[in-house]
Amino acid sequence: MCALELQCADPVKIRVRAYGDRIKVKKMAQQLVAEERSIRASRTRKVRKHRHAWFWFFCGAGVAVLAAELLLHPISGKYETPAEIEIRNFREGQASTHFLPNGLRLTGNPQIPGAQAVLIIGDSHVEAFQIPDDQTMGARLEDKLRASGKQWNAWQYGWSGAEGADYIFAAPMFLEKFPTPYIFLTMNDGDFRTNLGEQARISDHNGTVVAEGLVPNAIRGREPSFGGHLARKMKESGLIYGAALRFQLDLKPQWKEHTASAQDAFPPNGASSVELMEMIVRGLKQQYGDKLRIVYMPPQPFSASEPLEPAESLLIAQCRAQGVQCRSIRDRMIHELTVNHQLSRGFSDTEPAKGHLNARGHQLVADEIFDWLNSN
Amino acid sequence: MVFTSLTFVEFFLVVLIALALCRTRWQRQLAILLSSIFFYGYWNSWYLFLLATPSVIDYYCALRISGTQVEKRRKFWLTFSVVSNLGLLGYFKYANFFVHSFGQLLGRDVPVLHILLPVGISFYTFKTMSYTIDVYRRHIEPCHSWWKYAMFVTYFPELVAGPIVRASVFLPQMTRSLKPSWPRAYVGLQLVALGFSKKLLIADRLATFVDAVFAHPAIYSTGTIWSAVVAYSLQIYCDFSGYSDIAIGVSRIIGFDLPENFNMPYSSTSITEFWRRWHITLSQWLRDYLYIPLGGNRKGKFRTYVNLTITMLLGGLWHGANWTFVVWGAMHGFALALHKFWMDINKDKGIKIPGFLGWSMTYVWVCFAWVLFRAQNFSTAVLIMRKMLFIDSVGVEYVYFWLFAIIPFVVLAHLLGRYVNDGVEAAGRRKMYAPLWAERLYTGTSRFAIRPHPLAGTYALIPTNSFALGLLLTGWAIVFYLFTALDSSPFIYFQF
Repeated sequence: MCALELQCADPVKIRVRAYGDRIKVKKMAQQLVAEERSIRASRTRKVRKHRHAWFWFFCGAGVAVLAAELLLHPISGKYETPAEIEIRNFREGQASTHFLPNGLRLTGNPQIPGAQAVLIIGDSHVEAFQIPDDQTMGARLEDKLRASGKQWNAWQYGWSGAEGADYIFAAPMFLEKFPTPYIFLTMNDGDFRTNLGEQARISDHNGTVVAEGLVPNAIRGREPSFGGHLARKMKESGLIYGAALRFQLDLKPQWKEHTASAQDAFPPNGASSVELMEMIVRGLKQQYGDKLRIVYMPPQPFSASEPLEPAESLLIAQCRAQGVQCRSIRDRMIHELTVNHQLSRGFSDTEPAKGHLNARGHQLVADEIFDWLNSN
Repeated sequence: MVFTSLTFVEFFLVVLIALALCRTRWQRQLAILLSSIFFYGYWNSWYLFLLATPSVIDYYCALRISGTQVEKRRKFWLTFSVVSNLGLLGYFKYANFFVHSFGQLLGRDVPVLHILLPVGISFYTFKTMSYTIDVYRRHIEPCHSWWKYAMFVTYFPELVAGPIVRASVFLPQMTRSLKPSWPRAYVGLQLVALGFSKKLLIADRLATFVDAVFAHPAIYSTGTIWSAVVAYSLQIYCDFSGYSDIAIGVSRIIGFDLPENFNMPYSSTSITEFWRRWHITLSQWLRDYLYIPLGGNRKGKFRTYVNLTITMLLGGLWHGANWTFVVWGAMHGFALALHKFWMDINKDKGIKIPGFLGWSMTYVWVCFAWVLFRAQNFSTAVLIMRKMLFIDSVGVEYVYFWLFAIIPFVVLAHLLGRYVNDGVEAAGRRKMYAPLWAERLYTGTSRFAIRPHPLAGTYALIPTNSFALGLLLTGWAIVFYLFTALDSSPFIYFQF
């Protein structure tokens, strides 16, 4: 029989009252004290650990952000210097693209001072964030021209979202800034849906097509980058730039769509109506005159027997009626598909045959323009 | 109202607030019932009448069945219930199919009936049918409260695409308080997040590639076609199991436990094993209410093979009113019968097929069958299969980046899940707790592909270490934000 009584305080005081084997009881008491101390220590550790839990949580979060930045850095970000702008993109395809401050997309070839130039304008197909500089239509055209003995420059100027109205609105800027005998305007089926563009609206005033900016002092062409030094630095972060683009281009439109009521819905788009097409072609001719040549880039055709897209057939008919030179790369796309088994649209990380022109598509546009220039 | 839409998130938040505000269990049950009615009526309010039909008929039939000991009467009420359920399903889902097929057989153009296929009709008719059959078999007592029964039928998390819950699983849970609690939400939210990731990060990413290739298969090469078929096998798995995860997770938050529907199906080394792991609740339903009543394996070997084939053939038809689904089911039925035949003749010889060979044969067969499941018609399916067999193999070579980024992830999850699950089950057989390493591995990594074993403890996906938690959550948030497919397609099984 033995009884053991422990009182544990700080400092630990033990009072042992034992009957029987005193030594054994003493040992038991020591063991219990040790256990008690270990439990206390463990509790203290737990409390400390809990106290630092948030610290370690944020450390972990920081490491995740850092890792993401390191992974995204080579493929995402915008670097602006007075000489040029570099944009790295991974949203569709993956490429590093370079622009001059005046908005021209670089071709990767050295520019020949004073040489004759060809200007290619268009929307995101010409801006081509998906295509490396040396594979753009301008670069390919330059290569072909120079290989054939023509020491020309190919200028390319595109901006996302541009539509028929925008090209008319931006014409004075092009004619003033980039004097050239040939202006090739690349168009696709999305350019004729409405009289509204990103920056301008067109209307017919007694036979003259007038383009007016949607906002006072609207910029013609690419909008210049905004923000100060801090903003520029932030854009250099792959993660921040990628996240901002994601918000701007994907989430914001989705949210708008989700919250839009019937009243604020976008004006209904008549599917490439004849009047609209006629007005756009007339406006383009009035602004660019004989310099204008339209290159139509249809959606990926899958066989020669497919009927023409309504926009394409309408455009060709209107151009013919108004004496505007216009060509489509449809036949080249079909040939490329059936003979070389290559798609002209789509990238390895997007839906096949959908989206922007890929490097093959750019090559086809360059081939078309080259043949056109040679035939003139 | 698709689970991955903002509308559903808003709806579910309202449901949770309503549940939190209710004071009694009865009020909460009523709130869930009303929410379910709203959820289903959101598609089309006319569907509600359709949903009400089995709710009333089967409730009444079950009471009549249990209320008498006269076998003839019991059979009559059972037949009435089954015929009404099948009649509903047959009219809304198969009328046009049979009319069209009959017309084709006669070589005439038969006018098509304008019938809108109600969402989830295949699922809830099976659910209600199983209830009356179980009551008839005296496996369960009938539900004496129509409200409770209606809640079972209309319960929104699993109403439109399963898992097919049986009354014996659901009704006993009605005694729960259904008060939202953090421990249940903690587990449920993890499952919801997992389901969203499977759907938006994997299934929808792959869908863009699969849809494009299946729309124009003639232009693609054998390699591209094979990668599209593999992509589809992963897409449908992540789509459907993702849906099941969201349904189980949402249900857990509400207070009900739903049965698991998937258990690493692509790790199966035989077609029989595949069907034990794929769409488990349907397989079990077909086994208990079709295969066994047909005679199962009790009427000789040949009859067993026939029963297997018939069961799967009808299972195929259940999926969709199209001959491609019937042939898909027949392919699986044939494979099951063949496997059974092999097992029978091999019983004495004891020849062992190496695991990898078994897995390859199973996976390739399943992939071939998926072609029929996905293709719009037979001619497309045949064209794709020809390409898969290297006939007319020339075409566009398209290497889809996301497929090759996703495959290692899925393979790793399957391998780890299988490995850890086996460890946990072995521990379970020895009546021991799962070893700590197995539990951690299991809960940390393999939930992607497998259901947790009861012995594995919690569903905890989230590590307890604060640093790892921060790393995991932030990493997931970044990946989810940057790479989810926003133009989300509806869940594949919604069409059934």
